[in-house]
Amino acid sequence: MLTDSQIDRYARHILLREVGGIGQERILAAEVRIDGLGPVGEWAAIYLALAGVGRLVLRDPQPVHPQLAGPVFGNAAVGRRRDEVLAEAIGLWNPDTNATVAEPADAPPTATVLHAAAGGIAVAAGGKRAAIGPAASCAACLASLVGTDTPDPAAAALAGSMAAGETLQLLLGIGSRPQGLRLFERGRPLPVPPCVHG
Amino acid sequence: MNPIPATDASVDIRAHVCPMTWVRVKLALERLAAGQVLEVLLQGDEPLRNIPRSAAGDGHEILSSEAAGSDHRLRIRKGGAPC
Repeated sequence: MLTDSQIDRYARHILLREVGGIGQERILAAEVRIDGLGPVGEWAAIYLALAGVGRLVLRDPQPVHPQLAGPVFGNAAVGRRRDEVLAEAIGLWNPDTNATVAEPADAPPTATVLHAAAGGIAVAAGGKRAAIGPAASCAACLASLVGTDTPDPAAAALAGSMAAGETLQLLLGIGSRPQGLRLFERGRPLPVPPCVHG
Repeated sequence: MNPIPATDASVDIRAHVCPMTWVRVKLALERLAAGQVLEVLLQGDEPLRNIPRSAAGDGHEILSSEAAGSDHRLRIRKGGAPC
């Protein structure tokens, strides 16, 4: 059952017909793993932590880059591991979210992917573009849709918040389940060309 | 006139203001089964206007609304729709 402080913290979720107290308890009991904590994954982690996801497992041992410092990775964090810096920050923001650092895999993550028991979301941003789809989407398509430019802050925030929102839908079993990749430029949807990567 | 059924649970929202008044009532309704009755003790015009409207909007039924001294008492029967 939700505590008094949780009722205050999550009141806006509880008011939503599709969430309510029952849905919030489900979010608090959920675990999400996030691979890739660049400008997109960072936003996704922030939104999921503030939404009260009970356990966040973060994986991106790459150093925080000065140009990608963003609102979380301030100057003091430059050069430190992204997953460690973010886990520390989340511990201060929301006592309900237990954020831990996963053992790094052999190679650092090249894309941002959110994994939950009910499914996963792959997401990327570059320049003014953001793309999102199921975790099983073609990684080469996802990368080519957004290109290699550093994402604008707005595109990164859009991609990260969409990924967090769609992950919450997976956790709650609500909303539609769009198939395939979707692409946005300056927030407007663009057609996605068919996959040519076999 | 049908007799008012016994209440299955009660919630006191006199210390809360909007939107926490409805948040507290909604949580109390979630803990009941469809058809069970919740008693709400409230104070002031705002919850007296908003709680019945929000409850009806979520498919619940207002069984009674009566003054209780300087406070007000509502009885709400939980609807069959999911909260």
